[in-house]
Amino acid sequence: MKYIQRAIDFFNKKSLLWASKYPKAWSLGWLTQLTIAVVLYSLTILVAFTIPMKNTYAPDVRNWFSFAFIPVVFWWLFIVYRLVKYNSEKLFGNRSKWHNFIELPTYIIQFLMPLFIPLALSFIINERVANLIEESELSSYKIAFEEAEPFFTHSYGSSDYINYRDLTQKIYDRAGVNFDYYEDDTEFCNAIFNSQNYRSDFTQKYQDYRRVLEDSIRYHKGVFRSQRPRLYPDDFHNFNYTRDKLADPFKTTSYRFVGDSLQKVYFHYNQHDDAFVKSKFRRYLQKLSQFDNGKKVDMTEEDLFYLFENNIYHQEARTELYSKVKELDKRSNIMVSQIDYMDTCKDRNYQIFQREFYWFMLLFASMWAIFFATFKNMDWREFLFSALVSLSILIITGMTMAFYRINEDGLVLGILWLELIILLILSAIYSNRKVRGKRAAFLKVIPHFILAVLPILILITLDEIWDFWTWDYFEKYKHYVYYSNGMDKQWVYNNAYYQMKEDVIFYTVLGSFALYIFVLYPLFIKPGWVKFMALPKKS
Amino acid sequence: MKESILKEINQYLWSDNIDNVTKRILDFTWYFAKSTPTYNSALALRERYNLKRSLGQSELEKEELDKFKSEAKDLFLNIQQISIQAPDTTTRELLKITGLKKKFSHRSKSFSFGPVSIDIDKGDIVGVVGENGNGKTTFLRILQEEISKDSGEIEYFYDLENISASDQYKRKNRTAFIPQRIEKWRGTLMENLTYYAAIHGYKGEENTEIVQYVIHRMGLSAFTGLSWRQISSGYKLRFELAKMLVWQPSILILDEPLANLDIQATQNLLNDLRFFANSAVQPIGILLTSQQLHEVEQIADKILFLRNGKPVFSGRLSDFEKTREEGILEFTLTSTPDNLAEKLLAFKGILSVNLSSKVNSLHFSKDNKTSDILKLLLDQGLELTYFRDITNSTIQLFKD
Repeated sequence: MKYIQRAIDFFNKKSLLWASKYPKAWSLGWLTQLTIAVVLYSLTILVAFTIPMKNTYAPDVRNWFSFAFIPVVFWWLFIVYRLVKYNSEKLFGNRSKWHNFIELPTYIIQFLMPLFIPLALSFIINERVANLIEESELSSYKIAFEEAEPFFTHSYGSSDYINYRDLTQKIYDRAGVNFDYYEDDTEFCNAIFNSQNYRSDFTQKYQDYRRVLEDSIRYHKGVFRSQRPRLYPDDFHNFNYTRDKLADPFKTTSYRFVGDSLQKVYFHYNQHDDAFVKSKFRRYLQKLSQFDNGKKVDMTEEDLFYLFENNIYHQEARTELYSKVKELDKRSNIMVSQIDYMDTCKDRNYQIFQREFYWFMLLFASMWAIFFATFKNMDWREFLFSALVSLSILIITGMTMAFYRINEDGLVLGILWLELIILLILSAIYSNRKVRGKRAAFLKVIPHFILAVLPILILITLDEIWDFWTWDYFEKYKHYVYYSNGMDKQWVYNNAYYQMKEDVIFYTVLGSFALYIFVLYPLFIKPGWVKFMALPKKS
Repeated sequence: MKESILKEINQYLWSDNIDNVTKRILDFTWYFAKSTPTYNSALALRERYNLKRSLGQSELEKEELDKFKSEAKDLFLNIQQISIQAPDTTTRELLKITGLKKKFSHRSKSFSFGPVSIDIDKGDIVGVVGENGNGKTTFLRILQEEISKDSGEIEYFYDLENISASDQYKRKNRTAFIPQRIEKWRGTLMENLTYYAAIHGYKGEENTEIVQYVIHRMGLSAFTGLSWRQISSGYKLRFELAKMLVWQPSILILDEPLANLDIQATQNLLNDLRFFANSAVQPIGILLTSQQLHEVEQIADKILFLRNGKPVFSGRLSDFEKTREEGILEFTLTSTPDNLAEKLLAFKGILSVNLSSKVNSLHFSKDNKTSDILKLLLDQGLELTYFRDITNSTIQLFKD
């Protein structure tokens, strides 16, 4: 208790020092926030480095990311509380021009600071998981599994149909099957395919599906997700390639496949090379045991070969092998999911580590920062009134659109921009009035709200003009390039286009925010607010 | 100036008014010997006195009182050695209000305020008086630029410069306003004072100095760690005043500050206001509204009397006296004899007598002295329980 009291006294002393030296930072609770940051960041690092993990059990980065949002929410609430609590400008304190430049970025940093907790936590966990196994060792597990998997009577979902989601309907149409695409059909089709070499009791529906599938392209995508092609256009590319070159139902893209090529594997399969198949089983069982820290697998390659030779589906092995097969299957599934997970961690491939996610965080923090900057620079009644009127305008605009059945996105955007321009002009006119009233307040706030979403509005508008935000734009562009002469077809498939697209979005977001935060806000908006807030009210 | 302050302190010393002695010594050293050992001693003495008083003892025991008195005497001797430079008092103009008007209309009802014209100089205390709903608060809110005026002109001369008409922020930056209903504050008293001083430019060491001075000067030494809920309404007002004084505004506006105070607290507040207005180094202008006319008139230099929004009187109290052609006495009696009015009116110089069940009044010719009239009443064998000469008080305007 004595030490706690001493700590509190020390903190209060420092707090007063900050209040006297840096009143604006103090009013935002920066000292408290820095203390919170030190404590929470330390705890985060401690937790991140002490969470137990091993090959067969690694904590899920995404779950921990979500869990770490609990302190973030409390931190944000504290920021909001401090923002509302003290306001030097409503008290007409001294002001420097620099404050105009610092205010908004400060709020943004404040809202971003708590996000380092989930980010740091998930990043450290991700790196720890990534380093559980060396890359070369991980590859050896993958090779063992991938090469044995075609001989299992149970599929680990390693096969798929080229561009299934987009092309299935076309394939079905071409095959003359009256069939609507459903998500569940992927599994269904796989089941048929896996059964087709061993079963003959197909119903008419199964026959129809089979006819469709025979006209389609099946490829081996690999057991492990990380083996799969990641880029959409590559699928297209390989689709064209495989259609032209391969007729066998077992087709493979093989370009990402490690170890023996699938052609080689299937060659031995077709040649009934039992020794080859057994060797793949043996290798697989060894690796499974090794992955599980040497824990013995209660099964031999002979057992697996017995299942393969007699076409006994794993789960249907009603023999003494049943429990062994069940255990093997369980361990295999864990191995697949864990390797996939570790591989994803090695690539830092989760969305939370992507650039788009950071943009989103910046947009999110900035939106709240602008929202609170507006709130702090005006009377709360005026703010509430303006917010309600803004909402009403949006509702009325939406209802009008609905009434006249206007659903053209471009028109909606056009009206939004028109509203923005009109309100900006009205705002400029009203800013010269010497009296402050609800009408003037509302006209000051509305453009502010719209400006808060300016970068997003610009992006949406650009997308409306060029469609670059969607894949549709890529499709159109690809076809244009594909059919026009003189262009290198491969260029379409490389990353340059994506890089360009991402750059356009990135610099639009960055440019809009820079314009807003460093030019519009400190030079025009903020001084306007200060002047407006000091005006006497009409009555 | 030094002599008058020392004389004042000496008077307090002789009358054992340790509260005022410690206050004035602290004021003196703050203005003329800041950061010296004498100032530190004055601050420490005032702090100890405050802490002693806040322990629930309204009056100190003789032994303690003598101890404080002895220390105060030593300090008094010390400060007599301090040489001071006379402050520049050449420019004293703060506000010049001409023809100020405002009209409110709601449905069929309307209220017109003004035209009001009055000048406020540094060191002035202006009492804005009148019955409820006569425009007192409206006047203060217009001055503070919380609401707009319809016409008229207000010229501001804060910081010796005429601030541009469009720079409301700068004016509000120099104007302190304490509303009748004090807004709730958060955090401790100390944090708030430090913050208020800091946002008005008093930072670091300077901040600590002024906050310490105001805390002890205002008798808040024992309350620095307390929050809004922990202090009484009287202290809330005192704290609000401290919050304004830490940043040394050019003008202080108070709306009905005496409304919730007891007699002692009222006297203390009025004395403090007088001290701050008359500050040797940084005199400020003070405007306050109140119903307690007698108390306000004790300290006010100027009075603005409003009736139905119109100024009945506006100017110096001494000027008000000149406008009165007769003297007025208020008095009450244990019992009122028959035919008292006729008896009194028989005397030369008695112009009228109004007898009532509450307070009686008597108008007399200004050729007579007040003491003569008092003697006359006593000679009639009347037993007076209350007596007040209101010849120079605007209270009579209530009765007009």
